[in-house]
Amino acid sequence: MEKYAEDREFGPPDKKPHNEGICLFSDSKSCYGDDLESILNEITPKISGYEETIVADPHGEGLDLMRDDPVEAETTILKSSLWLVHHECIIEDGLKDDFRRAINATPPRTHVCILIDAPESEHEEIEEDLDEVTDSQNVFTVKSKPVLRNSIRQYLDMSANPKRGKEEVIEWNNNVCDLIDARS
Amino acid sequence: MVNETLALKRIGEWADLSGEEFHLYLDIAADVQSEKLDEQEGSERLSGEQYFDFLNEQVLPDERVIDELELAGLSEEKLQRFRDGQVPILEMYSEQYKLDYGLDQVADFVMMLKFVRDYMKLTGEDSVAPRNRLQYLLYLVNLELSKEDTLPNRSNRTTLGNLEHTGYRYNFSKGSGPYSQKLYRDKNRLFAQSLLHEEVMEERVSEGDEPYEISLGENGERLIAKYGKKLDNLDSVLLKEWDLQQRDVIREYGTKSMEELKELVRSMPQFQATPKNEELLKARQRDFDEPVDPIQELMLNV
Repeated sequence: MEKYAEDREFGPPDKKPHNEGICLFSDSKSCYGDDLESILNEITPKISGYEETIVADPHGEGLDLMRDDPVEAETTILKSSLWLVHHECIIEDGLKDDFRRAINATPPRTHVCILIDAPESEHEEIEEDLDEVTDSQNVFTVKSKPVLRNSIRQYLDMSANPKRGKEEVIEWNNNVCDLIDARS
Repeated sequence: MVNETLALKRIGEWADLSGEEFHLYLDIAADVQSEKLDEQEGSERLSGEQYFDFLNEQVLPDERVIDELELAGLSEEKLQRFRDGQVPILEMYSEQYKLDYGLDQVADFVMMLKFVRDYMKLTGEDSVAPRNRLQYLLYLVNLELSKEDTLPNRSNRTTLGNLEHTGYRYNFSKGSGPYSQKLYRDKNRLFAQSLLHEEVMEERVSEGDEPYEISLGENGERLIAKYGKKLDNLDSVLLKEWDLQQRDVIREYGTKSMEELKELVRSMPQFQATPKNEELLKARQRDFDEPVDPIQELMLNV
């Protein structure tokens, strides 16, 4: 990952799209039964300027990294500005404190989406268990695949897309480079 | 700072949509939004209120969105707000972030703001950095309060000394250092209101340290400029004791390097005797029972 120049252009004629990391934390490596790539395949045709100003770069190994070494994991997972976390990874894997710390380490604009994948009758209890992890303005929960799909689409089209405003993308990218550099 | 990604979802929830109708609305609204954004000239990013105005003016009243909402059986009153571009999006966000809290929570906010201002003033630093220094120092404020029992006419029910009556309402647990999630929650709330500012440090930090620096935000600077003198001369005995201890902690520990600060706290008997992840120090126990006018006045003006 390299710092972007303040005057960097992303779209044509340079065609140097922003590589947008999406990190999945899930034991099954899937979201509501679908793999992340197939969800992205449904979404990306609807992203304005896809492959010109932005490309999505999915990573499915988030949970393995957190289990191996939560502190070391941060140097990899911080490079993704959208984290998709299955609720069981936080509640049932004993990684609640590690996730809380990792989320606290993210720069503003990194989004953490927690996938609640359970019968509706269990949602309230799960949300209570997630308390303190979700008590941050960049963390939000989704409870179904269509809402997840829409959230990813919104994020890629609105928040992470240089076509909609490149300054914040450049700032986020350079902040992450500084963060990783500060840790090395 | 708001999370704009969630706006369409929040609007759908406000409209009481659920199930398939909610999903259809999300898809249609996202299509319309993308189309309208593509029609706009320039690539300046819409954020916050600008974005909400864009939604109300161009996306939500679009006939494709309205048709879908009519099919979903939305109430006429809410439907009219979509047609008129009067959906209260800002309120949906401000309800989450507004500083509409009780006196005791407000006291935590103001004293944290004052801590950051006093830290910069007394140490000559531009910010509190790295970010976990704030955890260590506010822990020390409460710890020192718990060691003294000097407040007049107070009877203690616990062994927390002055901390029973004054100090931060943050429970600290033992991690690699003292840690309070509520402290960070409040810090985030102050950041959301531009009362505190947080940015990535340029200097390198040790592993485990959080490479962010905290200073006053734009609104924080403004408030301190207006009310700083009042906050330096607090009438409330409880707040005065808290403030004195806070400043003593800054003077004694504020200029120590992070390594020295960690070593000092980790070698304290209370820290050593506490198992990892267990409670290290309780929060202030009692609510304030006397007026703290300067704080109320200050926060009413946020």
